[in-house]
Amino acid sequence: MERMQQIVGRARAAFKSGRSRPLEFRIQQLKALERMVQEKEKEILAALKADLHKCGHNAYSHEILGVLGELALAMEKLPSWAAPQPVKKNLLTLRDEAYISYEPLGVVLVIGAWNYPFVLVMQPLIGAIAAGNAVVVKPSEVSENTAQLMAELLPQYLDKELYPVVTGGVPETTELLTQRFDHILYTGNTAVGRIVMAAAAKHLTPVTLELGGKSPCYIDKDCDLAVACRRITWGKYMNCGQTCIAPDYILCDPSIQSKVVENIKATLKEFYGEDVKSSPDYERIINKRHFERVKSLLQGQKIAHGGETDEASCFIAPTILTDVSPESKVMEEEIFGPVLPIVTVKSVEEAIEFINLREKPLALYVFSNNKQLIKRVISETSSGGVTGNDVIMHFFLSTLPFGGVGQSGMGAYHGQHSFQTFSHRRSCLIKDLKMESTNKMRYPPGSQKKV
Amino acid sequence: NPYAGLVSHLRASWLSGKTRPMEYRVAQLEALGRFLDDKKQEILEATELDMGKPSFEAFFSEILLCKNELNVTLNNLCHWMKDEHVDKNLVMQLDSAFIRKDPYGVVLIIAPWNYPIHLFLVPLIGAIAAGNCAIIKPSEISKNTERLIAQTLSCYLDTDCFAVVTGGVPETTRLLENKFDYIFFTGSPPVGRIVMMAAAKHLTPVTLELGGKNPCYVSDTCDVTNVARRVAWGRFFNAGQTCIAPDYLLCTIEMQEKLMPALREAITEFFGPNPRESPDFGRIVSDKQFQRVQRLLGSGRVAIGGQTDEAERYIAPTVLADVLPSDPAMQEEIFGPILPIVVIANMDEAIDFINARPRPLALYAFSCDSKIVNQVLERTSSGGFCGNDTLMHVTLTSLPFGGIGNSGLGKYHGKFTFDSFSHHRACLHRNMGLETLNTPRYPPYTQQKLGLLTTTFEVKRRGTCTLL
Repeated sequence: MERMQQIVGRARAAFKSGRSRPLEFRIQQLKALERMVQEKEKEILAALKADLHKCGHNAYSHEILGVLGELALAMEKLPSWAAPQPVKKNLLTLRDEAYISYEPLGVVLVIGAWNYPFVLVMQPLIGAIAAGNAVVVKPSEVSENTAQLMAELLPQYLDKELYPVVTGGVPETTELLTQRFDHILYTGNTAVGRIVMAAAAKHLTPVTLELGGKSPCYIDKDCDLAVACRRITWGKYMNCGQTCIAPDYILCDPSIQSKVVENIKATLKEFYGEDVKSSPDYERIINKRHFERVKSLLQGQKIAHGGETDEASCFIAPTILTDVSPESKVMEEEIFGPVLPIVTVKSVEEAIEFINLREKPLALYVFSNNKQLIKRVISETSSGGVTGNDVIMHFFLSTLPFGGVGQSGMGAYHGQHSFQTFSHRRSCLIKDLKMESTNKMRYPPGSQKKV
Repeated sequence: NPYAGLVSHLRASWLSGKTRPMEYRVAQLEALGRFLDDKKQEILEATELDMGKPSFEAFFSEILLCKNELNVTLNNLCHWMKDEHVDKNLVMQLDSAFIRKDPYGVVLIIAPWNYPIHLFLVPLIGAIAAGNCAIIKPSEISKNTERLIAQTLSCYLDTDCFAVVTGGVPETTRLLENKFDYIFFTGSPPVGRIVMMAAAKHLTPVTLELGGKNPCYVSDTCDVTNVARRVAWGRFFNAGQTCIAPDYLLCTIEMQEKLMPALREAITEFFGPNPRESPDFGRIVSDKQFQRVQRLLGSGRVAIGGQTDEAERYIAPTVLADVLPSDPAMQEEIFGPILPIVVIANMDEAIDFINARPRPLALYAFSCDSKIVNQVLERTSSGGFCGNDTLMHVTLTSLPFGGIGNSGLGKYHGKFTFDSFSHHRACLHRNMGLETLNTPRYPPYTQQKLGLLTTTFEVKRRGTCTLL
């Protein structure tokens, strides 16, 4: 208890000193982060390899590239993001100054996840620093090598008091959550999301919860199946399926089910070769517990492709299940593994109904040559985000807010959305002490004329 | 759960999609406008019965300001509902990238008693504009207004999509057990915590408009007469029962001395020699609140006012001088017609005093020297800020209204209400063709592919050049 109180207390005192507020300071810290990513690239890639069996190229393009992009964007745009925003005035306030001032919230807590352990800590951290806050960073202990590395590296490059790293598991995080923060950004699962929000409620702390769910992927009969399946294969099996916005399951007409399977199989061969296990580009399940969990989802299912597992290396082959029953276990929880169930539906109406009967997902995907159909699916469903005719990609456009809705989360970030999430928008009206006559009509005694 | 049926009825209406078309939303909003017009007299009467609200004030806050919000919304709804297209990166030049404003579904609006029409209606305007269904829970403490709302709102709004629930704490507790897609609460911080805890169970996003003690700093260089008028107006409006009222004054002992006659004059000008007889001064809403506020009179010394009448729940417009930080009036949000003055030595001390306390909903600073006003603004934190006046920042619909820390989270008014009740959904509609452009992202990974990816995805600092 003492330790967490001290760490957070020091961060709060450092914030109160005011030194994180000047733009020059924030940019300097962001530059230091940029140096860290560039100078320690090897170490970062090695940690990701150790945690997720992620190859260098994958790790670089999924975790480092995005971080460098966010850093460059934040450093360039910060002056314009942080500038006071004048607002439209009315008759009564014409002579006054009216604007929105962007101010730091105070001490922010960022809780990372294990599946993209570097980027899911760094992106929120960048936004929180840019907004002028102190930030307590709590990387996931499940991706222990990356957590350890961040605990070593961040203090080497950043202000130690303003941006402490806290390591540990559930007990440490629980303790940390008893402290008061001014915003908490949590990435992880829905169950823990509830716990984080309940803890935040005690202090009236606003939260951004990046959770998950089952992201549906509807494939229309009228679509270029080869292209669609290649894109889906990429998004589903990257990081061994352990991606919060991976297409979780497919919905398609029974008449194209076998073609879909054939196309995905062909793409898998193209991506990973004949022997997936020996491809350097295919990852592993993070740990034994998740390995067992994903493996158990295969029970009783029709395996059209894959299904091989190897406990010793937490390997699960890219797997496709066909004619999956909506009531089966694999359709109950977020899969978070390289298992792709196909559920057949007879029409887009049935697909929409299927999706709407379930919790709002973090992402929704629809493939079709018919623009109107895509528009319809978007309009008649809800989800955190959508990509039409591709998967994952809405994550990579920083002008789009990234976040969930309903059980898949609340709040959003990326790019300027991060800056706004971690800022307080303070409304400011500055009047003149003179010009009192215009005020007379609002003062008592009230009369019909004044009204 | 006694409300499960109602919630599921509204949810079925929501799923039917009827609240989504713009025409439907406009029709409901126009009906709200008719409610305000038709029931104006009843609203003035109900709020007078509830807390002696002067009809001038009631017209201003419960009718005029609400109609403003309604008109701003109706004038701009089409524009607000449109997909917001965003700047694209190199890779997505041929795609369509936009933010879609999706309704949340079934929302809950819990309103307090002090501005009982305004504080349910303005959030409701945004909820309807954003395409949601809503349950409205007015405060049982302003019981005449509660009855009016419960009996008449259903004559104006579609009862399949909008319902009013009445009752007290037990009813609200049971209501909160249900799953809502958004909860908008206005009230006190302790109840705000309870609402957020209940929301956490269902991962329901919330806006909490809470309160606190709004400091009002008056510097030595100022026009005393104007300051006194503006502060007195803000403090005594609705007999002090305003979440953004200046709660206490901070000034030097010299300024306290100068302000006192000016405040006395302003009060007399507003309410006459005996405010009890003025139709323009309100009453405390309940016996419980009356007793609570009355107890705060034992702070500092009564310089102006101090008279009370329990039968009428009347507390005179009161100014307390030389109040200490340890006095009762400085321990809680006053929410009554009492203005304590806490003496400080200078502006720095005032700022330290403010910063040592929870961040307030509003903060006020008065000075002829704009540098001083700006200093106070820059060195403090609050929901909103108004320099050289009180309350007025919330009448500008282009400014977001909300708290920070203990005074709340989230914001509304104007477009901000619409945005609060909308899920901003990221949409990327890509081209099915040009598949070759995707090759760099697919395995098997090569150095060449990585180079290509880096060039196309990277955001470069301005001043460097890209070959593409």
